This record gives sequence, structure tokens and C-alpha cells, in this order.
Amino acid sequence: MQAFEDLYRAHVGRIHALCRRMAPAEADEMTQRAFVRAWEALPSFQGRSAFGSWLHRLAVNVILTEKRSAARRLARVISIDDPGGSRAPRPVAAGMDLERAIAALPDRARQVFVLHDIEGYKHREIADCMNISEGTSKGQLHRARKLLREALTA
Amino acid sequence: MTPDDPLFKALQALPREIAPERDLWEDIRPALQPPAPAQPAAAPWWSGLLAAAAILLVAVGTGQLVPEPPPAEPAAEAGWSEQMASGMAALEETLASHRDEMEPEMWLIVDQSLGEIDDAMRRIEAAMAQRPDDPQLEVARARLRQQRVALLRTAVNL
Repeated sequence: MQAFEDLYRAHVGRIHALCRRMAPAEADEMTQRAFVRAWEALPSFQGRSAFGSWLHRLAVNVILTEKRSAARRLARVISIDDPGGSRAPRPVAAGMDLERAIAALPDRARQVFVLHDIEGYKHREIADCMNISEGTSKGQLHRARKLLREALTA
Repeated sequence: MTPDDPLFKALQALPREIAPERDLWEDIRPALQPPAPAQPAAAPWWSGLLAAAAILLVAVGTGQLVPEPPPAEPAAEAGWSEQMASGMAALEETLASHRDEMEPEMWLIVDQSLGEIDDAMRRIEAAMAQRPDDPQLEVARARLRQQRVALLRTAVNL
């Protein structure tokens, strides 16, 4: 347990940054879930990749799975065609910094932007983990960048 | 995006790490369940031994794996285990003193491997309580002790 706490201390900043950008409203909860999931999945970590890379990928999966589940729950209550994707973006106030502008992006555009432009994922990898096409990933990235440029120059 | 793009410049300035505003560990720790105890019907006594051996392979790497020790003779078990116990205690003490110098990832693997071996040892000893005359159990216990010493030796030299 002490060893795992050491790993938590070493990696929490990186994982929390990811969670805060991918799921701003639930960053603390997602960070906690990512570490609990990592603990549960430790037997599958065989040391072939760096622990940080393994943990990072696991955290991305936790966030996307939670988001998909939440979207399904929402879909039972109200009819939605494209959760987050077709929703009008929340208004972006002038002078807002990039972190806040990212947080204000529609869900799917934000997730693609964070994974591609901040975390360095390729469109193929994003398409695989988000269950979307590469074309959709590129489209969402284009949309996110456009909205962010507008926010930064507002 | 080009380097002149304001968005590109803003991205470069983003911090790679962001510390949570509160210590999340206090909420995480209670949610970490210890590994569930093995069910005898579902897992035979030797499954822990296999798991320990598998994790040991990961921990020390095939290049550093010590040669497999010969099967221990039950007659030699008593004297040998006394030596082993004192050697093991010394190694554990040395490992504890090096603990802060080890990479957390490596420490985790060593810690996990020791836990697996100890779990397998408990199962073997439980089986020995039921079948005290089973020579295979004696051999399995002796091998497990040797694995533990080999792992400790390797960890001390990391």
C-alpha cells in the first residue's frame, strides 16, 4: 500500500491535469477513479511499458468510459443524437485563459483536442479509444481549435 | 498549427502537471481493497506458487533470474530453513534501508512479488497442516523460500 501511495504522489499531478482538461467538472472524481482502477488492474501491469504511460492510458479509458456511461444515462431521459458533439458551446468570456477556454468546449471536441494537441495522441489512437472515425476526430479537432482561437482573441 | 499561431503559443505554456486542490489520497485509500483471499475450491494450493513465480519473472527479468535451485530434501529442511530465516531477515533489513533509493515502480513490483510469495507460503502451510506427511508440500515450501531469498537478493542489488 505504501508503494502505491508513493506512485500516487509521483503521478497525481500528471493524471489530475489530464482529468481536469478532459472532464473539468469531475476532475477530482476521475482522478480518484483512475487510481482505484489502476490498483485493481495492477496484476495486468507487467512492466513492459513505463508505469506512467500505462497509468495515463488507463486514466484516459476511465474518463471516456465514464463519459459514455453518463451520456447513455442522459439519453434515457432526453433524446440526444450526439452527446456533446452537436450541443451549442457554452459562451466563452473575453480574456478567458486557455485552460478555461478548453473547459468551455463541447465535450467531444474538448476530449479530442486534449488527447491530440496536449497529450500527443494520433487521430487513429483517438478514434480507437473514443469509438469514432478518424474523420470525426479530425473534424472535432478543427472545431475545437476554431472555438479556442475565437476565445483567445475575444 | 504554426509556431506563430497564438493557440500554439498558449499550448506551449500549459503546465504538464496540475496538483489537485486537496489531497485525494485520503479518499482513494479506503477504496483500495486488498487482494481477495483465494477460494480453495477455485484455486488449488499450488496456484499461488505459480503466480509468485510468474511475478518473480517480471520482477527480476529473465537475464537476472537465478538458476532454479535443486529440490530440497525434507530431511535437510529444518537446518536449512534456520539458515534461510536469518539470511532472509538480513536481506529484508537491507532492502528496507535501500527502499528510499529505489524507483517507486520497481519497489511496487518487488512489494507485490513478495506479497504473492507470502500468500503462496500461507496456502502451502495450510495444506501442510492437513497433510503433514506430504513430501511434495515440503519441497514446494523449500522452493518458495528459495524464490523469496532470490527475489530479495535481486531487489537489494537493484
